[in-house]
Parts: sequence; structure tokens; C-alpha cells
Amino acid sequence: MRLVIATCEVVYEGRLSARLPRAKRLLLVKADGSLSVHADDRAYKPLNWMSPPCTTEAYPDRWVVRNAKGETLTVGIDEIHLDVAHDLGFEPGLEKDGAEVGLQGLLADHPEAIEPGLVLVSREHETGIGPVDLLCHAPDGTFVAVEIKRRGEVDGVEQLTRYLELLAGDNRLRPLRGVLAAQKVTPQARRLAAGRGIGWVEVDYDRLRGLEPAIPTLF
Amino acid sequence: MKFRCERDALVEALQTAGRAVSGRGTVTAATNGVRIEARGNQLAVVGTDLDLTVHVELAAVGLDDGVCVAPARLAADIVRALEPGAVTVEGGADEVEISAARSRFVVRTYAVEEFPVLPEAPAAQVWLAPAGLADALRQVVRAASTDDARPLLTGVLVSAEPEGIRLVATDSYRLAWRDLPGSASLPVGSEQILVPARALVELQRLLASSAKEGAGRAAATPGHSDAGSGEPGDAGAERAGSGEEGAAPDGVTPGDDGGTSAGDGGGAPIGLSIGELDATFWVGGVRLTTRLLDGRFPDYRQLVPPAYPNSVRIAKAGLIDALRRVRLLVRDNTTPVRLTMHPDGVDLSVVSQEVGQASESLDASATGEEVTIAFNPSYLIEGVEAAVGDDVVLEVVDATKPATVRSPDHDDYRYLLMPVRVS
Repeated sequence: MRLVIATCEVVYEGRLSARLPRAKRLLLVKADGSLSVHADDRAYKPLNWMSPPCTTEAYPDRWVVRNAKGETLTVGIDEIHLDVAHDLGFEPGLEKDGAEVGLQGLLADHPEAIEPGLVLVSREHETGIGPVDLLCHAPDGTFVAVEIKRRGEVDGVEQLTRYLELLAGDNRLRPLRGVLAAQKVTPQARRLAAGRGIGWVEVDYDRLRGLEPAIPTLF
Repeated sequence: MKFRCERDALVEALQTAGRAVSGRGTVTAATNGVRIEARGNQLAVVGTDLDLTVHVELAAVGLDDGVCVAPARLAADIVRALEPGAVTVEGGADEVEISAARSRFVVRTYAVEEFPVLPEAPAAQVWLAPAGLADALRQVVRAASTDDARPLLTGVLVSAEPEGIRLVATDSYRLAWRDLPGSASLPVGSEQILVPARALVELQRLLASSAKEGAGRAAATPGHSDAGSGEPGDAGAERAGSGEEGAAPDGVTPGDDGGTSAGDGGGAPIGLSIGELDATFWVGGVRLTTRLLDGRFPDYRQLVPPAYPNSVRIAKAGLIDALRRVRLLVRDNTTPVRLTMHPDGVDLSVVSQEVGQASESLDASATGEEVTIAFNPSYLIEGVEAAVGDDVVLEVVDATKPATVRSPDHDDYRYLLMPVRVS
């Protein structure tokens, strides 16, 4: 990754012509060969850019970046104020928040968010046909099998039902009940769960993470 | 089953009952059907999704008693599309024939036994004045949450207060409450109920429709029918209504659909009965039963600041118009409108990074210090719109504490609004 802060003029020629008059700007040259020209606003959005694959011809007073279609971005450089390069190495990619694995970790740390007084016995408790996300112990002495979904739907209830049927054969886990935990539980899943004696709970992911809501609330 | 009925009356009954039909999920009598029962010269049309049930009674020329369960939306669409005048409906085991003039439709029906068996509605216990209730619903229901992830907040709290019934709703960003002073109290043991806002939206529709029609549904008013028991005007209901909480308020005569008012507007009184799990409202010939929400409503009283050092009184229409203008630059629900309250009035501004900025100044009478506070413009508009009168008062503690919108002359409505933090 090369970062250049320069006083420059930028001219694009391709489907149309566009020109950025002379000003101080940030030029980002990435390892993929792309160039993007940034001002000190517009967040992540560049003023102009050339996506890869493209080639750059560097001259003392200008860079000419050209893509396969023949479009060019010419950066006329008056003065360079900063020019640094750094190898960023491997990019592991974006981990999306709210995934079940994240929710499982948070609920394992805070089982009381599922039910007051709940204590974690084990994560990924094996049932024979797959692991149930959490096995917990309630203050009333019951074991609670918790299946965690980002969105609790009928499928989640069905899955938990199968787990409960198999776990019921384990004498050590009696009495046993199940809870479907999700950020949102659909009305159909609620009804199916209620009909099967399975509990459900909606959990606030942001609150579990200790985040303030984006917009202030009354309570 | 066979009956004849005026098209307009039938289509309204089908549409009203059909609004309770979910129409989602597997197609069954329960999810897509509307139950039509002819008995004598009385017709009962019922739609339900089990959470909400709408039961419409209307007069018809009965030719043959019986029941069928027709596809709700299709039946309403067909009847609406027919020529004006009399419609004849004849239901068989598997299909129903709907005909008028030269049009004839034969539509497959659902098995009657697959339609949910609904409990009989109990006798009405409380009578409410329709105009006051309609106003209260208009002011409060809008503040209820539409987010099913917080099911309690999708309800409206209806509670018995010393001065009458109070309605409260909140989506956690704003909270609206309205008192109905002088209204009947709620039955003992049901002093606080949480009614789904969805049901109250339907009740609003019914009240609006009822107000338009006036006494037009006289023939179908249960007080004049032999269908069911315990409905407004029914002798049993009046008996059940004896005692303090069941007594009709002054000026209200249960079952009198001839325009006897409850002192704040015309129309027959609205019956209400509250069960352990559900509540039923009677509006003219329509009975609306809704499942109640179970849970503890937030303690809203503690949210109201004890005093407001800063306030501004401003013309309501001018404020709404100005807010709507500056809101044009808002592209998402996180861009607030800033209000600067100063001795000469109020300055509004919206700054949208992506779009631009807008500002407007309004004359107003302000007290307290100059303060700048920001709100979601749509929430503020809704609160101001709901206030009664030409002027509205905005009361503020500071830029971070809940502000209140109210009418300067009426204490029975309050709208609490959480400010948005701005840098």
C-alpha cells in the first residue's frame, strides 16, 4: 500500500472527460495496481479512481494509469508532501457481526441474558446428531438446551426438538427443557415452540456487546 | 346457506372482517378464509388470525340458514366488482356462488370445520365515548413500536387512572399518552391491559367508518338483533353493565345508535370487555376481539422530567410546515433536525452530509435559556400533529434529556421525545 499526499491535477479520459483542478490530495496506490484519489472528506469515497487491472506509467511530473479499455487517469504532480509504502500482508476479510457464532460466544459469557440465573454447563454439547449450542443449568434444577440462531424460525424449533428428543435419553440431564434464542423469533416459530413446550427468547445483540444504541432511547 | 344483501353493505363487511385474516402461510380456512353465516335475516361475517378476530353483523334477506368459509380477499374483490344493487350468495358444501345482475361467480370454499372455533364474546363491561376514544387512538397509537423484536412495545397500555382511562404507547424513542377524563373505569382486576397497536389501528378504522355512517347501520346494530348475547344494547349486556365500572358514562345510552353522545361527540358508545387473555370492542355491528400482550410495560412515569426550565410556544401549523420543508434533506432516520430556541423564536436546521443543508426561522414565545436540541424530524412532526389546538408547547431540559410536546390548553395529551445527540 502506497500513500502519497501531493499537490496534483487529475484528468480522466474515457467514457467522458473529467478534471480535478490542482489541489492537495491523497493518492492511494494499492498492491492490486489500482489508484484512487481522495480529498479530505466524502468518507471512503474517492474523487476519482481506476480499478484493476490497470497499468501505471510513472514520470517525474505525472502518472498515467490506463486500463484494458484504454481509459486513462492522468495525475499531474506539482509537489509531493508525503510518500510512504507499507506491506499490509494477508487480509483475513470482513467478519460479519451478528453471526451465530458471535452470538453464541456472547450468550455463553452471559447466559443470564437468556434466563435469569442460568449457568453455562457446556458449549457445543453433543447430542449424537450434532451439537446443541449451549447446555445450561437453571436455578430450579432443570437443564436447559439452548439453540442459538440469528433469526429464529420454524427450522430452528425443529432442530431443537430433535436435539431434545435425543438428550432426553441421557439420565444425567433430567429434567430437561429447551430454549430457542435469537435476535428475532418469527411468530410461526413462537407458536410452534409454544406448542412443543419449548421456550424462546429474543436477545439484544448490541446490548450483549455493551454497545449503546445508535439513536438514544428513552429507556 | 343462501341470502341476499346490498353490495355495498356486503363488501364492507367482507373487507372489515377480512382485515383480520393474515393471508400468509399455508392456505387454509384459518389463514385465508372468512366465515359467513346466515341465520334468519341476520348475517355474521368473521375473519381471524387467532390474534385478532373481527366479527361483523349485518342485516340481509335470509333465504336459507347455513355457513360457509370463503376465501376472504377473493370474495371481497368479487363483491366489490359487481354492479351496484342486490347480491345473492349461495353456499354449498364445496363452493359458494356469488351473483348479481348478469354476473355469476362460483368459488371453491374451505371446510367449515377447519375454521377456528372462536369463544363467545363476554358481555361488555365498559362503555366509552367514540369521539374521545378516536382522538386518543389517533394521538397515541402512532408512538407504538412496529418492531416485533420488542413485542411489548407493539402494544398500547390502557390503564385505569383516578381521572379516567389513560392510553400510553412508546417505541422507546418517543412516548405518547392521553387521558380520557371522565371516562368509565376499567373493570376491577383489569386495571392495566396491553392491547396490540395493530388491533387499535383496526379499531380506529372502525370508529372512522362508524362516524361516517352515523346511524346507517341501525338495522345491523346488535341491540336490534337477536344474534349473540352480551353485546351493546343487549339486555344481558345492560345487566352485566350494572355496577360502577360497567355503568355507561353520563350521556351514553348503551345500544342507542341514534346518536346519543357521550358528551364529546356523536355516535353510539363503544363497548369494551376484558378477559384474561383478550379484550373485545364493540363498534356498531362490529365486534373486534384481540389477544392481549402479556408483560410489564416500561415505567413511563419516571421518564418525565419533574420540571422544564426551557419552553417555547409556537404556532402548530407553521412548525409542521417548516419541519416538513427542512425534512426534505433527510435521507435516513439518523439525520436530525436541530432546533435552537431563543427569546425571539425557534431556528430549525438540517445538515445532511450527502445532500446539503436547510434552515428556517419561526416566530415563537420562548422562556428560559437559549438551547439547541435535535430530534428525529418525523417523530417530532408526529407529536406536534397529534396535539390539539392552534399552538403547541415544546418543553426542554437540555439537549440530552427527553423533551415534551403538548397542547398549551389541554393537559390530557403528552408526547415525550428523546433528543438525538449531535456534535
